[in-house]
Amino acid sequence: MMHQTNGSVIWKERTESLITASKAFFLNGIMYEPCEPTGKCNVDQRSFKTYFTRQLAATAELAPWTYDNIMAEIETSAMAAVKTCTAGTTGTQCGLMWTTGTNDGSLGVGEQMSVLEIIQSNLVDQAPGWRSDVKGTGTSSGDANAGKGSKTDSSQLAQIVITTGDRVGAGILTALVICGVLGGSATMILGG
Amino acid sequence: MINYWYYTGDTTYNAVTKQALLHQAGDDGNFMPLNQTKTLGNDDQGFWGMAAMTAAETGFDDPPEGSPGWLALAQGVFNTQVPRWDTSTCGGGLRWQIFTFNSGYTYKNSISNGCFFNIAARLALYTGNATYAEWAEKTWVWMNDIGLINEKYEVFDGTQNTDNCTSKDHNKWTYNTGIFLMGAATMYNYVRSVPP
Repeated sequence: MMHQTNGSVIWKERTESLITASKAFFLNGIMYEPCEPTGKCNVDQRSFKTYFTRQLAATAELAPWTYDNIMAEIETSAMAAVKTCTAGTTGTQCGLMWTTGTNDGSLGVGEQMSVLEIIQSNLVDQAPGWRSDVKGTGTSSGDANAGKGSKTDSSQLAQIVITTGDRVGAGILTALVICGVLGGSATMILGG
Repeated sequence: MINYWYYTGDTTYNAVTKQALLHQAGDDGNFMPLNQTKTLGNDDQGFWGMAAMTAAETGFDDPPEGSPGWLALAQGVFNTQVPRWDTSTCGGGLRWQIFTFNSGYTYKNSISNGCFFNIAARLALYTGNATYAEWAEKTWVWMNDIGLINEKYEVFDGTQNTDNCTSKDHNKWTYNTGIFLMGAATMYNYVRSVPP
C-alpha cells in the first residue's frame, strides 16, 4: 500500500481535479445533464442528476475543503429545480431541465428523484456523519466472504423459471418504490 | 430514500425502503435475485450495492435477525464482481454485462467500473481492510491507462474490447464523473485513517 502522506496528497489531487472537471455540468451555476440541450434524454438519463447530486453531497462530507464550493452549486441548483415543479394534477410535479426556470413537460420518476435529492442535499451539514468500523461507530453486520461461490454461471441461470408470482412481486415493488419517491418529493416540496 | 431519512430524520418511508432493498437482495445476498439476474449488468448490481453501502454508512434500520446486514450485502456485490475483472482484453476492467448472451458483453464502461471503484473505496473506509483499497487503486489506474479518464479528468462513457479498447464512446454523463469523484474523496479519507 502506498505511503500514507503520499497517498493522501494523491487522492486529494484526484478529488480536486474531478471537481474541476465536474464544472462542465453546470450552466450559470445550475446542474444539467449533457443530453438536455438536445432534448433526447432516455428514461435512465433523466435520473442521472440524482446520483450526481448524491455523489457531490457525499464528497462535501468526506472532503471538507470542497464543502463551500459544492454546497453553493447544490443551493443554486435546488432553487432552480424547484421552479420546475408546477405540473400535473397537484401542480407540484417537476420537470427535467432546471436551467429553464419553468416546467418543460418532461415528467417521471427520474425527474422527481433528482429534485428530491438536490433539495434534501442542502441538509447535509445537519446529518450525523458516516459511520465506520474504523471509527468504532459501525453497527452494520458484515461478512467478508459474502457472495463468494454464488451462482453467476450462465448455464445455471438458463434453468431458472420466472414465475407469475415473481412478476407480480416485482410489479408491486416497483409501484412501492415509485410511490415512495413521489411521496417523498411531494412532502419535501410542499413542506418547503 | 435512505438519504431522505438520513438528512431529514423523517422515518415515514423507512419500512418501504427497507422492504425494497431486501426484496432485491437475492438468495445469495449479492443483489442477483433470480427474477432479475438474467438481464442484470454489473452497473445495475453495483447501484444496489451502493444503496446497501449507504444504509451501512448512515446506520439505516438493520435487516431482520438472520438476514445478511447492509455491509454484508455490499460485500456480496463486491465479492461477486472481483472474479469478473477481465484481463483477457484491454488489460483489465469490468465488462458492462455479466453474461455472454446479453448485448453489451463486449463493452467495458465507466459506470460498471465506477460502481466497483466506488464500493471498493467505501468498503475500505468502513472496514479499514486494505484489500478493498487495492482494488479501488487498481480500477483507478486501469481507467486512466485505457483513457476512459483522460488527462483533463473527463470521464467518457465506455469502450469496446473488440478493438482492444482503442476507440471510445466520448459521451460524458454527470454520474460517471460523480461516481469517481465520490470514490476519490473516500480514498482520501481512507488513506488518512490508516496508520502509517
